Amino acid sequence: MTILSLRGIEKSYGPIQVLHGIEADVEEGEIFAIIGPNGAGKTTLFKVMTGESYANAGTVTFDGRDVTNEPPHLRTRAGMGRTFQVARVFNPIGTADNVITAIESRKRAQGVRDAPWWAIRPSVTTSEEAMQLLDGVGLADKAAMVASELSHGDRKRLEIAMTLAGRPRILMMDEPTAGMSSADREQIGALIRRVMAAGAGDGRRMTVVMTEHDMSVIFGLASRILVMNQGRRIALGAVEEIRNDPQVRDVYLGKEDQRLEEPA
Amino acid sequence: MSTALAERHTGREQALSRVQINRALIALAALIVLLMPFLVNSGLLYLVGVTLVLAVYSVGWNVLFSWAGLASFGSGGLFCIGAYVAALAIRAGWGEHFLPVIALATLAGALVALLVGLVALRRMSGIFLAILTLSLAELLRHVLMRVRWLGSEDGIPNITRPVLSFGFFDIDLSSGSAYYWFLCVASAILLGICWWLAHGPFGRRLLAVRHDIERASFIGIDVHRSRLVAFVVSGAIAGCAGALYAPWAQIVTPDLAGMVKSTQPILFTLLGGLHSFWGPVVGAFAFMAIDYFTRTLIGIQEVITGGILLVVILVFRSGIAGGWNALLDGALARRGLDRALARQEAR
Amino acid sequence: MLFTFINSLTLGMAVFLIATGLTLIFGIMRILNFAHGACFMMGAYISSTILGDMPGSVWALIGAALVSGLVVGVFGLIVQHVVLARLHGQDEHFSLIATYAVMLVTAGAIKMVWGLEFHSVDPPPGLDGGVSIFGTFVPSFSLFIIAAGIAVFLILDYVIHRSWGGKLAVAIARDGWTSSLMGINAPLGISVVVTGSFALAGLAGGLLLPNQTLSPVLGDTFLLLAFITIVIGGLGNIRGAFIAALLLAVIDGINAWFLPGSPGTLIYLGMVTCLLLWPNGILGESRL
Repeated sequence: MTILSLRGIEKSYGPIQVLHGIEADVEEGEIFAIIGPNGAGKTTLFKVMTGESYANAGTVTFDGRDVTNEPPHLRTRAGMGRTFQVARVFNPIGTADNVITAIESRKRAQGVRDAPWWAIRPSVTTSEEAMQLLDGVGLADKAAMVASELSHGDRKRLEIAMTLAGRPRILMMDEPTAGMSSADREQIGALIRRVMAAGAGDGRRMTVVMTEHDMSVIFGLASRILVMNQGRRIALGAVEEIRNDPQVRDVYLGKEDQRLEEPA
Repeated sequence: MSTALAERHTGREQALSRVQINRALIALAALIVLLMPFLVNSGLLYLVGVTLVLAVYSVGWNVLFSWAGLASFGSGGLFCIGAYVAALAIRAGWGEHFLPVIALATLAGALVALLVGLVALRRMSGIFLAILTLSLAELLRHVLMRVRWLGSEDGIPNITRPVLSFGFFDIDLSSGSAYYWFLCVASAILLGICWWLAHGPFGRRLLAVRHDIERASFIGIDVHRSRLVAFVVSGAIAGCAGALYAPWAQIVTPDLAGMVKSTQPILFTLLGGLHSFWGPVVGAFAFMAIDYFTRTLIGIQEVITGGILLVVILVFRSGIAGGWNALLDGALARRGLDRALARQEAR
Repeated sequence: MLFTFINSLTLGMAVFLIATGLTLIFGIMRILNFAHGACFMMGAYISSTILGDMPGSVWALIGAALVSGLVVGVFGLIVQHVVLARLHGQDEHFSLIATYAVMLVTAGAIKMVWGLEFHSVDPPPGLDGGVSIFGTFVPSFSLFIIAAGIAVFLILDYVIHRSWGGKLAVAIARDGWTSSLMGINAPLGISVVVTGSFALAGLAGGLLLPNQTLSPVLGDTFLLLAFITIVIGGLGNIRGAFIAALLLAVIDGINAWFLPGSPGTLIYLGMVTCLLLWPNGILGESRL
């Protein structure tokens, strides 16, 4: 079943067209990777999917509903979670508070009231859920720390916990392992697999869309890969197909091509 | 959970006792404020009452600034609207129903803030918002100065202090100390509401928005709406404070919408302590003291005020509240260390 | 009609003279300088001290204005080094509030030095009369202000858009870090522009001195009008500020014609409307 589909996505910044009619379907339960050389339009496409910027033409459909012009918070409420290339958490507040804020936001959107309206502290169920989520990403012992004191890898884990607090059906991860040590990188990879295995609740499967530079991460994790170059889709398929696609080898994996250097 | 849990987790008993010390201090300060009518003459009592109202007004502003990250430079306009609504209502003889009058003024402040926020917040923040709010307040001041029905430049004088009527019994607020205590009660209620908003789920949402707008929207927070609500709440508090102020000062003038009134919360908040709930209250009383002791020295007052503000911004960012907490933490840590050493020696 | 128009144009140009300095400092440092109005007053008071109540000639007025500009410029240099430079790159609210503090200090110091009484200075001989244009009496001092406004605009426009120094300043404003990589001394450039901005405030104070009632609240009114002008003009844009000042003059003229009883109201109304219609200014926001 298709969970996220892109139809004819066009995007321009001023006179410069960055995306040319991108078509893609993300199937539920897969890990879908977007790769391409610098300036290929990966990040722009990613932002069009998440709602940080809107397409000039084309449609984005998420879980059967047209979200092309929906702002991020509505997509989030509909089940789209997002992590950033450099983990973004609410720095000056506590690690647990970060997750609590996210849980409360979800409960509010869903109309779940498990605390009286006048309560200042989060409800017991919210606190417990926060601890479970932190435990799930291996941060339970750091729950009391202020988020800014966390290491780079821990911040990434916290960000994932916050995102999972929204009970997403799809996780949008922008370069989840960028700037990490190889040990951290493997742990994040393992974490992603665990998240996939846990599913998205209600018996539905979790989906991950990620952009990535690191080929070992991609080939180790992804089910299918979308390859972009100069704002166009040049290939889309399973890992093995992509590995053997001559065009992809040409622009991305194989010899150094002139086009790699050109900014799109 | 957070704070309590945090303390349990790290075993920060000192942090807990700092909270206790500060709570005791707040209670003591509240007691002194309550006993003021017995301690000082009517002139000083008037000043303390005004400061109390301004402190509440500034806390409302600070909820917008330190929690939602929006700086309004026109809150004086909303204060002024509240004050004029109350003054007009009392002039029209509605003084007996003073509580509904206050509600009306609060509503007026909230409504105007809502209109401004609806138009402005989606498109601007930072300097543009500052200028827009500043000019709107100035526009209001100009209009008030020209409307003869509202007393033009002289404003509305001789506002009588009202009698609270609860149907079966009345409370006469016409004496100075009676109205003063009424101010105390009203301020306590308003501060309580602000505290509740700032520290509950709504406050957590606002903090998230202030720290990182995009992250906040990606945990499903409607950023625009949260800011708008904060703007309206802040406007309501300003309007309410204005309504409390009018019968206390017994005169309202267009200058209430001026830049001085609009920038007061900023000064109070910075001096008292940025991002601290009680900061504006501390700052308001500190400024009152400065004003009081330099009242005969023309010019020096402003130089001192400006100088202090510069020092705070350049070297002492956390203000009085932040400095005090740091001092307390240091002292407590030292005591804790001493005790630990003593225990070790005993062993 | 013509008289009203000239009066409004005079106001517009007076506001423009003050707005130029604000535009410069905003263009290069992204700071909305609250202290500008107080510096304008400082310039006016210094000039009045130099000139006395009766300026000797037009040249004495201009000379005194230049001296005031110099003094206030030096003051600006001090403010830049002691205050603004340290807040560079921090939350914009802090520099906003810092300039407000500088304003308080300056205004307080002015009260301490010159007292609270109102001063007034007559226009110098040669500008104290009027000329007749199409049968309407026009004060020659108004014409002087208009001419001064246009002259300052032309000079600044030339300096910023044509001269080498102006181009350097624009480069720093666009991207201070990159320009410093290219061998431009960015801190020096910023200091020069800030000094220039304060100097323009002082100069405006000196030039606009005659016919004003000098009192400590003089700065506030002009400051707000100048703020609005530069915001409407697209912060940091000299040409935009000039156009906005002309617009302000037109609105003020309409106000004086249709609502003579309430001067100023339409200006604020118009400016608020402008802000809401073009939140980024008429010519859009640009740096210098």
